[in-house]
Amino acid sequence: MKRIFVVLLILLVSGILYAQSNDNPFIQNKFNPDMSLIADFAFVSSDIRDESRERLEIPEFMHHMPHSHMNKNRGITFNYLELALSAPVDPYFDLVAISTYAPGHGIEIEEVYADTKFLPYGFGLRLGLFKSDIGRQNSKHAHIWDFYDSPVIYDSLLGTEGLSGAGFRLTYTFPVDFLLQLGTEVFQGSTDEPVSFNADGFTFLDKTIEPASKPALFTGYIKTSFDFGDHIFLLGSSVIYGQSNLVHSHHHHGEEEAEESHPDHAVSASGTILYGFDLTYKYIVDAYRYLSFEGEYLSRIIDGNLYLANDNGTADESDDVALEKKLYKTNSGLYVQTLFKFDKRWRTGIRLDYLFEPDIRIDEQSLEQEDEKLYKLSCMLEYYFTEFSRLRFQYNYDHTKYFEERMLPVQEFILSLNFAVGSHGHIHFN
Amino acid sequence: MKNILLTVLLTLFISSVLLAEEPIKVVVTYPYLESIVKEIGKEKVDVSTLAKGTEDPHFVVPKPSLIGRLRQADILFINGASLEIGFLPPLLKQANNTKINPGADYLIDLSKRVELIDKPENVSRSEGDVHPEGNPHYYLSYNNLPKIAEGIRDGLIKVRPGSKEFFEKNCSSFLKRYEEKKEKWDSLLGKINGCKLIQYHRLFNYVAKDAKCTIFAEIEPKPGIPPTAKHLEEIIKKANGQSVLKIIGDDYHETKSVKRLSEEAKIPYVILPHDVKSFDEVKDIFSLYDTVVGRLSE
Repeated sequence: MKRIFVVLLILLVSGILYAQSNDNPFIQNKFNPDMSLIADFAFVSSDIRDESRERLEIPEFMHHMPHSHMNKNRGITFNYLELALSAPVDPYFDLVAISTYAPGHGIEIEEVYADTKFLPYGFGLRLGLFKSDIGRQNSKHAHIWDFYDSPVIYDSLLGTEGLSGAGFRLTYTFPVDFLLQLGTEVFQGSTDEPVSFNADGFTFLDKTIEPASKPALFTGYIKTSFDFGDHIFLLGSSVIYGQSNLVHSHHHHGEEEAEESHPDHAVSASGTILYGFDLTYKYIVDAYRYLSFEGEYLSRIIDGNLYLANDNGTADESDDVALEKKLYKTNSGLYVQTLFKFDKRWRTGIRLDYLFEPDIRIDEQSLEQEDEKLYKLSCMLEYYFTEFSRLRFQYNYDHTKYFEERMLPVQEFILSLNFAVGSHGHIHFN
Repeated sequence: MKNILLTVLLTLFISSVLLAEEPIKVVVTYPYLESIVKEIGKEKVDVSTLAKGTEDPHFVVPKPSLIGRLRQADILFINGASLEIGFLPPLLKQANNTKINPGADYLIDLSKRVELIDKPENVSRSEGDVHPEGNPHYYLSYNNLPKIAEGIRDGLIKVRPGSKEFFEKNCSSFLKRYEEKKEKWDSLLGKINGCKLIQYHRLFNYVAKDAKCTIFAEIEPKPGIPPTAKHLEEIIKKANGQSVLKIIGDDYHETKSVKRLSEEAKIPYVILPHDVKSFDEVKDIFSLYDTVVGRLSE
């Protein structure tokens, strides 16, 4: 895969060079897609060993560290290289393809979608593989995140990279002088690394759950934005509905192969609902300075069955059976952040992540929760050489993670560097 | 049945009459365009402007509320030459208005009407924020105004051919007023003919060309790159004994470097507006040129 990517890149670049340097009467370089490359590097210092980091969890929120391109191993790391290509297909469609190479993850096609340009009356249609536009953080690629890492509630409920998948989106923008937009998305709902949603079936010990009929994941959202002079407001509300077929494994400690894991329990729920609210306020001070406040709340309700391994008291795991219980579980959390761009080249920010105590009922019996408050505090300072290169310092105090069933506060210091070349990137309303 | 048909037809007729009378929804990127559109469109246009006069035209805040305005637009006039490249494409994508999508008939790029200068031979970001098409600040030269006005006139006629005469009449009376003003501006610029100027950003190259002046140096070492102390010292050394007429600062960049340079090199400085509504007194396109030409030739 890695080789294909490199070969493709070389072909593309040499093609462009060839086309520019020859009097080829069939030159088509004007048709080449807009191309941009984004490279991200970091230096990470942390008070936890890399091997232990792999085994961190947030009980009842996150069973293992999420899949992420943002490396948190100690030392100097190359995080990812993103290649984005886009061009009009014809008068009716635009095509966008975004792929990422990250060490340890190989090449991933993050998004490849077509946007229609011909729908009248404020309608828009996107088809393909894309990131959902629910919430505030979800659709952002890592290079435009305000912090090095994604909010903890996203890691826990939607995954670090957010909800994405194959499907389509229909939007409607109202004909008013402010922004009022409705959107709905239909996704296939099957994924290799499920966090909250998965419509594929599974086998857990002797219990087999059939796959749901697909497409199986639906979203809806409303966004509105208006401004009073230099005061800008953006509000959103979103809901996701889908199937949760999830098998959770846990690592057996002390084993040679850390990869070796055993299914610990499984969940199957047919009508999982995840909803959220977001609010952004931004005050424009002058041409280069602004102050912004952003908050987002997410909550997930799982109502279905829980399957536990009943080990029959024997050492042989092959005759274990699944014990079925009723499960009702609510997980919620939020992040709030303030950013201050105080110079053309400088921006600083602080973020607080907070997870609420989950409400868990097994066979209608409430589960006792631990008393620890789960929160994370992050501060960052950014320096922009230009809009194409950025240096960021970040400090995290993470009081959400457990190691071997005990709270283990983690401190991190991260220095990251991000570069963008190629077609002009866009200013985002962060 | 007949009654229903009649009612439907009547409603259609009345609404079409009402629609025809409704002003054209025009969206423009910068306040200077708003000023010209209002001169030519008068009561037949309803203009929304994306940028404020005090913003850096390259880094306009892409307010999400602008999507609602773009979604309703009948026509969009842009400066072009990549000045809007950073903020406009994502807004257009969100608005998804078939009339003004890139490549559509009613997205009017006015830079296509004028001859751009300073077109770089090689394009590389190691040269800072360069525009492959040439310098995008062409509108600061009043000599380009007729072409911009004609572009706007033709765009409005394309949206509403029935009002062709109205727009033509407004445009020619606007240009007649312009011709009177132009004489004054020409004679003012004549006073500084052949001078040397220092500017902060490559904003006033077209004005310098009109005045047959040379841009002696720029406070930004490269376009979009803030000045360093070393670069300022180099300018001071270079300007020694060169009789540079003025140092030009502008409304949205910092003026500290301008003042420092002025003090140390003993060259007077002047702060010029880059757009309409950048300063309170710059109310429209004519007062923009009045201020630029007036302050420069003082």
